[in-house]
Amino acid sequence: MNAVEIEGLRVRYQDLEVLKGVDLDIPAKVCFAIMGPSGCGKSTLLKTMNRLIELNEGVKIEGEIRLFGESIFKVDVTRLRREVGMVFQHPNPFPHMSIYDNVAFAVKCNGIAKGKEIDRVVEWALKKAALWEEVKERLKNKANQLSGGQMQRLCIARALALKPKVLLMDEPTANLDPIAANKIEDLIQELKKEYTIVIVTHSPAQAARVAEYVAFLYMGRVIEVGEVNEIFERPKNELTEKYVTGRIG
Amino acid sequence: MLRELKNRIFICYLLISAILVIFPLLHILFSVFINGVPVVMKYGIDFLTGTLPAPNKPDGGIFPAIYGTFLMVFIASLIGIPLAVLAGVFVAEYPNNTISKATRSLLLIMMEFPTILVGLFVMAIFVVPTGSFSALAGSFALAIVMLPYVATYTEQAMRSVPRQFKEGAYALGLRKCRVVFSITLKIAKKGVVTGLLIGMAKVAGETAPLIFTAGNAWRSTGSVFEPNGAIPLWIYYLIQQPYANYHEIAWGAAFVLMVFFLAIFLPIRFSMVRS
Repeated sequence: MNAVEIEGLRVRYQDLEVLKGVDLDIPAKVCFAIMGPSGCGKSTLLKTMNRLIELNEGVKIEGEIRLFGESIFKVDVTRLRREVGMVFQHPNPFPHMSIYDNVAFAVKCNGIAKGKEIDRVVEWALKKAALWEEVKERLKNKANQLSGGQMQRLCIARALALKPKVLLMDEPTANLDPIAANKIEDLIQELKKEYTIVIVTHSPAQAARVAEYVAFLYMGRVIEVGEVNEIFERPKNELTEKYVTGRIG
Repeated sequence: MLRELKNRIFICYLLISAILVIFPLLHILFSVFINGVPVVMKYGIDFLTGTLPAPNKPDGGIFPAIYGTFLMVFIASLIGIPLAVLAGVFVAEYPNNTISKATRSLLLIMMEFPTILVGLFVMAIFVVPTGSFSALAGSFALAIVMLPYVATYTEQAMRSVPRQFKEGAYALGLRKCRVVFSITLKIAKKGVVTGLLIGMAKVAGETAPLIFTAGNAWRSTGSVFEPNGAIPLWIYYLIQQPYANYHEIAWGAAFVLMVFFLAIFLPIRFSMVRS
């Protein structure tokens, strides 16, 4: 069964149609990259998958998205967002909370663990996000004392702690230095063995490095989708070829 | 040459305007200091702990007024702050709602509203039915004066929290209530606290809303249901008396009020400059 199935998805902000009929099937336990130039609708597509897009006023959504066969529009939105974790372009750990609380807070609020069990979940999530060794001595420190790359891994830990089925990543390395970005990419390689990862990137090179499948989005439409080798070595569409060779973007 | 001269004249003009603007403030601070400090020195600690002396007797103090000010600011904060913070949160979280738009405009009007009218309003709905001036009525009036400051600062602080933190919180499956009170409001804490302190400093110096509500009293029974004094009320009434020592005490009270005000206000100013 596919992790995510998108059918005829149209998203409109007031008068502006951002997604103009998107169809995509995202298999489970792979890294699926959505690439395209700025303004093509890739972040909108990602934010529709956990219905975060609904925070914007005047958004209209048509079409269907199914998460493991179940329509995301028919389940409780808070449950959906627990099952579909998200990591953002700007690392956004809560600045007023400690490293520990950043991970533990949503675990407590969502009733995932209680008492001592929370400690175990926090340690597990930080280990999964390859951050534990760097922060285990200072869990009570404020999260905004971490470096950009560490903050981003903390955000990944925070999402993983809720045991999601799918992890959405919206240009997770766009604001990081190359070394920190490499660490995140290595982490994605590890995580995709257990989770379905959907990553949005404006860098074809990054898509080629981390993903098994790639969709090329252009002006609100999926131009081409396929396995990573096919897209980069034998693109069927002229626009895709232009994009992956750096002639548009 | 002529252009250079024009330029210099213009700069001089700007400088003089700036000095003219801050001159009254500096003059107030200076005269309160010059006239108030000797009084406080002369009366000693009694000035803060004693009660109003008989006319032309050089002792006593303004304790009932200090007590009244603290009491009424405290009760006004208890009533006003929770309401104002919630109103600010509502306006910030639902900016396009009709009630919220109306609330925002009303808050701005309230901020500029003549405070003596607030006093009249509270007199009509509270003092007349209960048949007596009281500290409680004064506190209600002060709470109304405080509301728009606290609410507006809360709203601005909430709105200045970067969207990414709210999105991050919603993406973790948190409900709106949690996001607002555990994330946004906590991140906005500093701005909200600034609003609270500014609101409190503002009402601590208010006279007009207290005239028809707290009444005034030279002796305090300590009860919130009795008329009560306050430092600005005392200054207002003391300078109308024909006794020299009352005028002295009014200057001393003005100095005490200024110290309270600056003690609240200066730390806010400095913390704003630092951030």
